[in-house]
Amino acid sequence: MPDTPFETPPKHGWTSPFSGRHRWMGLTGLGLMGASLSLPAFGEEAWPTEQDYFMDLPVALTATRLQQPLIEAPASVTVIDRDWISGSQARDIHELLRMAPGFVIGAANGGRPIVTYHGFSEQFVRQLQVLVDGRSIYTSINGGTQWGILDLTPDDIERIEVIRGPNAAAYGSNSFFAIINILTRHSAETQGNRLTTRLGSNGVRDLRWRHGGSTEHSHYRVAMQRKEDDGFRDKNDHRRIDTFSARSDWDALPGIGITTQVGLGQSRKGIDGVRGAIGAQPNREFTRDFGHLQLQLQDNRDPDTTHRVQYYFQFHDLEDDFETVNADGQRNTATLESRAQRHDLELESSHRLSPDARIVYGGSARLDRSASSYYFDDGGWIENNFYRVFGHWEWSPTAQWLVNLGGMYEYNDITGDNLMPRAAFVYLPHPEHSLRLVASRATRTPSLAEEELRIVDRSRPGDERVLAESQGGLAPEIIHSLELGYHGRFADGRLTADVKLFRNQLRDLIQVPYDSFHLFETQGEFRNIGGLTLQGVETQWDYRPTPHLRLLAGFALLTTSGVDTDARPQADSIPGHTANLGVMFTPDAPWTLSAEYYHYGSIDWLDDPVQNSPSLDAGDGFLDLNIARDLGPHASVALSVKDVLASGFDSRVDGPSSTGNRRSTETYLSLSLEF
Amino acid sequence: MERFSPFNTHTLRGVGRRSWASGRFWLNASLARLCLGMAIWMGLGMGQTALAQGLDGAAPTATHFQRIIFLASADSPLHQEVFQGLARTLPRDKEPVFTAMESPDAALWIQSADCHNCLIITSGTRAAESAQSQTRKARVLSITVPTISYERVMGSRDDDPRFAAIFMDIPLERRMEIVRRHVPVLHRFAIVQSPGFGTNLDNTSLREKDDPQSLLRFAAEEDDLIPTFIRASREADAIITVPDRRIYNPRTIVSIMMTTYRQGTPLIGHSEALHRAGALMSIHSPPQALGREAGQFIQSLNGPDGWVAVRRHTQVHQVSINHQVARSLRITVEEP
Repeated sequence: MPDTPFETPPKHGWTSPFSGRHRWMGLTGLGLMGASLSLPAFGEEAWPTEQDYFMDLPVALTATRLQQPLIEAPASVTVIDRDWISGSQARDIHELLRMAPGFVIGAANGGRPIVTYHGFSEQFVRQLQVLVDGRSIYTSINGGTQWGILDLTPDDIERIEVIRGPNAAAYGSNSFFAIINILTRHSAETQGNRLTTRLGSNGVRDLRWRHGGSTEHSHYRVAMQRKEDDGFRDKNDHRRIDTFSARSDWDALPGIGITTQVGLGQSRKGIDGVRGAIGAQPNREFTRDFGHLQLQLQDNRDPDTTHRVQYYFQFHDLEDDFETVNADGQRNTATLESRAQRHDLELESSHRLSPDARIVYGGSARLDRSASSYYFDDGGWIENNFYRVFGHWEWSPTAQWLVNLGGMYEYNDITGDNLMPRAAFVYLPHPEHSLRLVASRATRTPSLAEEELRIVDRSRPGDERVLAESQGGLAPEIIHSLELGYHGRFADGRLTADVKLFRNQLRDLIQVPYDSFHLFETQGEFRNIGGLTLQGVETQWDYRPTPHLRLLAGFALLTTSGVDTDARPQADSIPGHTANLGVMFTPDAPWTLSAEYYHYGSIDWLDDPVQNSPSLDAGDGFLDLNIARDLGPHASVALSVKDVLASGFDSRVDGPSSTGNRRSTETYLSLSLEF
Repeated sequence: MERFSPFNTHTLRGVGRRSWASGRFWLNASLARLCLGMAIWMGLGMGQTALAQGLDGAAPTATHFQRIIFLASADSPLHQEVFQGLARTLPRDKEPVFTAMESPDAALWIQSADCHNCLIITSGTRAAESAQSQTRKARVLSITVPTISYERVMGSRDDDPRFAAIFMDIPLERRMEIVRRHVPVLHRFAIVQSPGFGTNLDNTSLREKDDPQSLLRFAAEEDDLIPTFIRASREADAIITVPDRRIYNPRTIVSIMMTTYRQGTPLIGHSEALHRAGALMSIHSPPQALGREAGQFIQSLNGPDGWVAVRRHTQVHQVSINHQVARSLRITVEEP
């Protein structure tokens, strides 16, 4: 469903992050950060003293920052590491996910990227959980992730761990097909000033300033950025995003750290109008305000025992007034207003019980609330409370075996009780090779819109029509997953390979009445109906033949079986294959060359606004080329050519009432200065 | 930590740490200063007599030092822990008196203990420096002090038999030997240090002194800290840290840890804090153990007549292993 189905000129300009109803959040965050900065500076001594042996130091490699060796991981994991991120010249984070096998990166429009794994391709991909430093950015109204308005840039990212497979046992419901776990860089690693600008074709105009500083017991960074482009060509598809973000890492006591993160932003996005006699909409621009406050306390005094307490609040507001024409040719002003908020409190502990055993356990409470005069007709607040407890036990009975047993119990107001267990067995016949068998059950909780939606056409006074309505009482979507995988390291670790065979049985799929949204039917409703089995093989390779060359490759082959008639749209939205290849070459110290190519098979997009449109694939594929050069220790320049093989459309084709996403080759130049 | 005036012969045994700002201790301190003022008014010699009487109230038993003073560089938890380790080793009736450099009566304490049969135990570099310059007769045992700092402090009096020291640092060769015992696959180590750190030799001379098959040295300035660690990580199996605060400090440690972790190269630390911060292992001497070791040394002397001007490294160390880091880096750590 569209998140802004109607259009009007913007009525809101940029507002200060410290004004309005959420100003307390920015001020609280900055207040906490300020508290951590008022500490004395670190002194210098000419030669070592006893203090150098007993100096308090921040904990750098916390349990969350340490990566489990992939060879022992009880899941298929793709790690997009700092080296690749910095060399890829990616402008947005979602671009980096092309290097994860099984993923399709598409676009509903220029400002709304789509990231799907194993299909179910639509603009609100509800089967993927996305976390930023443990904060779920899965949206509560429609589900899915708003990739286009993240207040992060690749420069902020330490690494991205993509867990390819369900893992609701660890991450809760909606961790259904995969989990994208984004870890940002510690503020100690982003010290000094950095100015980055990017100029290019199609209106690319980016400017970002970041400042990092420190005191004896804390590090911090603040960043402001503006990002602009014109989106897809031949459309009213421009976007402008202004964001402010800040992070402070305060070592309150030896081994105890408090991390505070604040983000505030506003986006202005052009929406292409809808042509036609009924439901015609003009080109317009709407605005979104978004932000978050995250507080995390970690007790790492004993490296074998870690405790973490986390609270975060985030919001996402959209307000849009626009004019439309009804069947009688009368002009009406419609209002789309939606507000979504989330409060989340989580506690987690991990203990090393013995050299061979470890447990992780915890619990969380979450409140998702939303109000929208458009989605929920009356505009009142609708809430969903989540309560979770989880536990995992890892045991290595011998050097060759690793057993992972765990699960999560979740209660939420929509679906009630849910149990999401997982069992994994990893066998290492050789220190460089492992086999894994993973069985799990996961659920996807209906979004607030799916459960409570009621969209009413009030364009004709006295003749109101319900366009779409949920009957409520939806059950969760359920997946039973079985995976057999192999992970191997060759050539002294310079080559790693991972292959998995999997079989996912899905049932109680929630059917969304997209035709109603696109006005092809007068009424539609959400239903739990349909199931299918998705199976396939997936592989990824990471090879560093020389210190100057790195190759990443991935391939997935997907098929469906046992598809119910009602689940046919979902089955048709799964590509038959995905393939990706990345090359990074540093022939000489100041130069870095990189190329990324990816391709996917035919997809029938679930929410395709064009009725009976043909399946769409990646054509000749997507190819990006980058060349970067260091201009000394504090400056670098890069030239990027995006979508070199552009032809046809990306995710959306031209239709009688809408304009498709026509692909085009774009170029931009980036310059970074540190001072 | 309870403060002690020269007129208070209590020791720290069993006394919890307290804030100087608390009312009770403020009162004690005020009284102490008042008494100190009276002592000065009555004449320093008279005051010293009173001090001696106060201290000599209990006759020496296990040791024959007339007076034992524990002089700390600071009234900090570190030196308090060292003191507690020391006090628990000595007989209850001969526990030394704790005083710290910043204490207004520290100088008076030093003066009162500057006799032939007295022992001043210094904890910390500043305390060692102070005892070196302010005493003429007392035996001085310096602990909780790095070798290089002690040698600089002693200067020309390096061979004075009144001065003994147990250095807190564990020699590099010993640390490497311990690491190899726990992780036999680590053969080649790298040290990253600021130019001229810990030696009078230049880096070229140092490199000539080291065996390049087992130890590589890298000099890093503030500007090229991370590139230096990347180079060191690529050339060595592990990086062994040194107490060089221009390299390892709260501002830099996260970047250093993350950089070496990305390279898959472990850090071998010299402190408990480095172990917690993310070093694969740390080889260090806990403060209480340093105090206990000093106490055992004093017990072995049998008083001033048995005084030995020992200068040696501590013989106690603790190996702390960060199993999470070991696992993440796929390093097997053995427990020999």
